[in-house]
Amino acid sequence: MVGGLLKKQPDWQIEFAEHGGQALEMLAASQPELIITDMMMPVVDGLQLVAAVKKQYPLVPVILITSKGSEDIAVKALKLGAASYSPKSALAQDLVETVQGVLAVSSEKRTSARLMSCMTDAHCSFVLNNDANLIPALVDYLQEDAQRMGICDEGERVRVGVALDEALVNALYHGNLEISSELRDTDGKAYVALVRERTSQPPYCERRIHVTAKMSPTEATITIRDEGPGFDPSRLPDPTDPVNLEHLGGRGVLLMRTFMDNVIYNETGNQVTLIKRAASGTAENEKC
Amino acid sequence: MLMAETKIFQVECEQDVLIVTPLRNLSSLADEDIIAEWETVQQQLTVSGVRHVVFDFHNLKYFGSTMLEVMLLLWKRIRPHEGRLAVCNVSKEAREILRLSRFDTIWPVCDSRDAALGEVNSQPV
Repeated sequence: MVGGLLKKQPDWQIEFAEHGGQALEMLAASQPELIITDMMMPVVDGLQLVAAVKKQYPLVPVILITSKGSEDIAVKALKLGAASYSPKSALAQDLVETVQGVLAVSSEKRTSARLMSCMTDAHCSFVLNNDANLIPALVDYLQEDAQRMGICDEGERVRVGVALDEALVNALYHGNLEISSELRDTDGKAYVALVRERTSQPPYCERRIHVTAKMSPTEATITIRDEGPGFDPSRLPDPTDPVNLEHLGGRGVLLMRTFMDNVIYNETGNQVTLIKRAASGTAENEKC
Repeated sequence: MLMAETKIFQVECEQDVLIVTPLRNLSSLADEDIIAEWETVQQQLTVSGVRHVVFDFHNLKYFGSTMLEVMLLLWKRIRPHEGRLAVCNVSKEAREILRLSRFDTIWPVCDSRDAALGEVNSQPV
């Protein structure tokens, strides 16, 4: 029925796979603009196909055909990355319109991805006050830029995000507000009170976090500078040393050093430069 | 038994095991709401007489150093009373973070909650 409905559209070329496994084999040879899949299939079922396509071919949208009473599966499919779903009971009325809508959105995404692959470099700068709520949004922005530029895939994006979050949080609490991790261990309420106090007390409240990001298809360089007195990173205890396992602190820098290719502090210790290089073959975008 | 549902940590008690399910990552413990929830979690260790802790990370794809510190602080509270801590349902990225921090050498990292409960109840001190 699905094939019959789609074949009526003169501009659409339809190819069929027996099951999800065959669909993935076909994708390896060439990618369509859209996939429509049933849920129940041998070898690879609909949800598995959605997840695999999302991971391996993120620019190819998938529409899942759902049967009556399978709303939970539809929600699951959307969470796994399906672009949409179409109930079997309403195929005749809805399918073509759903396909048209998904194609329009994915076409824009493909064009945007192609444009981004033509970008040679991008620069941005931010000056943040000591508002912790801004950090997740900035991390998200920089992750998006790095992934769009082709520097990192989904997995590396997570790692880059962790490293950036750690660096920004350090800049805010340890840098600008000069608050030690140890206070968290002894008195959480006092820790919060001190943060609140210094957030509105000069000179701490007047300090800013300066962030610059330079992105190219091969490398992301993010520099984060706080206006605090700095510190000596060489004096940080090694958190992986069993002697320091119960010591609070130091793990943020460990994660930064592990997840980025280079982490460089300035002499004062109030500025850190994080560099992430693209691994060969991580660029998912169509080439310009 | 679900003891408390909060914005950051979902807390349940199963016999003498406190099961903590983080609902989202934490960047810091500097928020009053977060501290209030965190203190509620710690209170469960004394009020309900639990000895062991299981962290269930099925909601999180990753976490950072603050979450590691939360786990460490709880572990330091329960260890003097022969309590044990285990972790379960961690993603690939989260497992990597536990490995990097070497916490996987002191806390079992399990594929399921049942396995984690089994670990804390059977693991020798």
